[in-house]
Amino acid sequence: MKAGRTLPAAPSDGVARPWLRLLRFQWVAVPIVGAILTLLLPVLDPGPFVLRQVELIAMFALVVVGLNLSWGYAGELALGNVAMFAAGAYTCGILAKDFHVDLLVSLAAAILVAAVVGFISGVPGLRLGGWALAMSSFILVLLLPDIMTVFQRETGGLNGLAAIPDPVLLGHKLDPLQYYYVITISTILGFAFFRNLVVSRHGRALSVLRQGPILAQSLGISVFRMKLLAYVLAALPAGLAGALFAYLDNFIAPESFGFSTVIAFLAASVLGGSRTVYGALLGSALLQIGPLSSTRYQQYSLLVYGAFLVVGGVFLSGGLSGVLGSLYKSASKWWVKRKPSPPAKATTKVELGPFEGAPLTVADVSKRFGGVQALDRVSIEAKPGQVTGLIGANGSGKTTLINLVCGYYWLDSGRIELGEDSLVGKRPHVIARAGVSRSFQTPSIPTGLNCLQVVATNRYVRDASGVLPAVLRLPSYRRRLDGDLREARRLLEALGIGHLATQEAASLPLGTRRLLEVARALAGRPSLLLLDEPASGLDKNEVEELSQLIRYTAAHGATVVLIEHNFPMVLETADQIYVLEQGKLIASGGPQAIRDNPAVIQSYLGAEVQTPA
Amino acid sequence: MTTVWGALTVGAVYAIVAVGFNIVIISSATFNFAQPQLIMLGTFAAYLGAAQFHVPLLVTIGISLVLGGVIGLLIERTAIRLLPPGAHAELVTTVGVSVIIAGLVVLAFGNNPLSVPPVFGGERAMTLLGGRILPAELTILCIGLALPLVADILTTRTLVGLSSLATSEDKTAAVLRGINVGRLGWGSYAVAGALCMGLGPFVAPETYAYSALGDILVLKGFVAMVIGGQGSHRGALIGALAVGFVEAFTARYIGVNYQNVAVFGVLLIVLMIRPHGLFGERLERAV
Repeated sequence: MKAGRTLPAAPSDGVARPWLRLLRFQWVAVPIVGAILTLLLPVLDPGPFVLRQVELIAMFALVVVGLNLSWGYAGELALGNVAMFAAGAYTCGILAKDFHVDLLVSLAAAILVAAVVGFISGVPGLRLGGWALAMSSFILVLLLPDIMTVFQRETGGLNGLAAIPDPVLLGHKLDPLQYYYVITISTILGFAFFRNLVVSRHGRALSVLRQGPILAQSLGISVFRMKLLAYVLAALPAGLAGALFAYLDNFIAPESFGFSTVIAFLAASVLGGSRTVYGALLGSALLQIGPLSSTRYQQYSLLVYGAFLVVGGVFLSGGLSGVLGSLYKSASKWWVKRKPSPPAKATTKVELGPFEGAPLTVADVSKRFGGVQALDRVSIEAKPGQVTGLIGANGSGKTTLINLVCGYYWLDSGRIELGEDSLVGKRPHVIARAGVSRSFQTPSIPTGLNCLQVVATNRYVRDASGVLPAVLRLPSYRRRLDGDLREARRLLEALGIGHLATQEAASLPLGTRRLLEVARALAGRPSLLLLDEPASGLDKNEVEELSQLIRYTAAHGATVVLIEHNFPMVLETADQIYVLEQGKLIASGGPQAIRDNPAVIQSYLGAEVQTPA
Repeated sequence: MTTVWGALTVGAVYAIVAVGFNIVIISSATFNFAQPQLIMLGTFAAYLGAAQFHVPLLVTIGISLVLGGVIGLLIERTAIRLLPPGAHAELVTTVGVSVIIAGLVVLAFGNNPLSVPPVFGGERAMTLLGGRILPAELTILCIGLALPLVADILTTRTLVGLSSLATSEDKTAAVLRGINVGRLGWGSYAVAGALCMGLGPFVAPETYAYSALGDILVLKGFVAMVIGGQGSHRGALIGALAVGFVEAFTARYIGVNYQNVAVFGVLLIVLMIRPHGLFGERLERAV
């Protein structure tokens, strides 16, 4: 119908001079310089004490970066990292002592065992969330001494595992200096791995998980799989660190893996900033140089950790690296004057391509919440190529109906079908993958992502890529990322918010976030698009743009269901309208018929309101 | 039968911890990791009262009640009220408070358990239903069994209790109904704090005054609460007794080293079968 409508052009990034593009690499430069300095450190001959401090910081930081991934990014506070650290250390120690294996073999085995422990410790977390997961993973740490005692012969019990031989790499026995390089290079590689993971599509999918299971499922992301991924990935660096730790003193004992270690890791994470990668290094360094190294003040160390946790938890939501980051940002703003983004003025055509719509059939659906009959034998048909409006007063059951279609509620009776397939009894993420995308009445936008990234999260499952290609930045991953950005930019432009592409999405005004939700829903190339009050909070022009886009989407084949209180907009946009009142369908028909229907005027608009001309 | 009495006594202590957790959870939807440290402080109050200053038990309990309430208020003020909502940051901050309390006690009294004379009844075990039990154990058993039931009645029958339940279900709706949610929040911390520290002297003869007591109780109390279903006092009683029995019987028939493993196993099994605990309610998720 209104295909190829005119839309504003993409503005430039706002960076005028090409040399300023180098600034894009500013955050990579700092760690690279740090890594080089660490590797060159032995040249200065600082003595064994300093080198040992660096080694301890490196191992410590590896565990903390895993904690940051599961907690800071994925929002799952799993405190079992010490158990994985211990698993890595003991696996490595036993293999080295009893089987004299090569360093590469023992490191690999340690990481593998830690991943298995991470998997096991995550099992309660699949059912519980929040603090309950934290506590049950905590218990796993409490069990360590018992397990060591049970396997006294292999682990040395409470006395510890002594006389672990020096590491052997490819038949060559390593001296302490060579081992320093093994530790630092492993840590650098570990951090590179995590940095790439966190800024990849997977990192953003983890942010979606943090926002909540409902959003994740609506994007087709299996919460179950995503949580397991987070736990297992978080375990890998802990296992590596444990293995490295086993060789350090040729001795490991249960007291290295106790309650205070858990607290120290947590404190380092909070102090450095939990939602960061390099903050793990900062926090670990501060704790290692401070309370952990001084035996003289050991009895005060618990007090220091405690104070860090309270102060850090209350005041430093981004940790010290967050504070440093915002200082740097304001400094660079003062130093480099960026041109403000030009307002959208030029216009161009945006093609969104065809959608493969599927008809939605809702037949005789009933749903009761306690004493409230939210829906009472409601039947609705939505056809591809059409916009189906759903209106009714607050509490009339509109959103309940959408939630039933999406699988968030279980229906009491009736049928819901998309094309030939029944959606009843399917889990929400399965329904989303079947081609159902939706927007939420209250926008659900994860913090820390820009608009492009938010829109692209709905392509995570549809155009899936593995973890390894993402970490190694293989061409297959880059292709998907390019596809993500291209598609996301096109959608943002189609909604007239292309100039906001690189802005932090969660801090945008309500109306803009609603449009962003629509763009995200469209990014799934849905066969059924469910829009829950997308127009409230928008100004007149924005409503007009949105209305055109909805018509455009339907005209290109999608099935669109529109819930809206803006009566004129629904009349203008929808081909077929259903009216709900207290869970019952009271009218249906074309816009004209609905506007003139006396029951609708009576119930929904109030008798005295004049129908719009 | 002696094992049964032992299980019941230990279970009773866990029940007190779990009820303390529940009171805070019901009223302010936060988990206070530092809660069991107040019982630990109560045991040290008993130690000081009985072994150092030789004051009557009632004085010790009175002081403990007041101090516990004050410390509870302090925890709420420093570690809870300032937090951004919905991030579960309270786990980090209350762990911090817990560590600080334990650290201070270690500084003042050292790492070793200090023995505390029984509240009353002497040190002679008596024979009850074919098992041996100390009078002090019998006391704590009765308290531990009665407390969850009393708490349950108070929660479901009084206005304060019902307001708390309403708040835990929907904070905004509770505010709109005229419930002072802020007062319930700090009130619950004060009540739970006073309760835990006030009962500490009764627990002391059984556990000794020991700086690491809080760290042990926090995990067992947590398991008891989760098994019973969070927010349910009746559930807390059942869960606590279950943990007590599993511990006692595993220690007796399999081995002391398997005690914690068995408790963790039971927790996993309960979570697999009933994720919301025995008395927890499953809510349908809303968008």
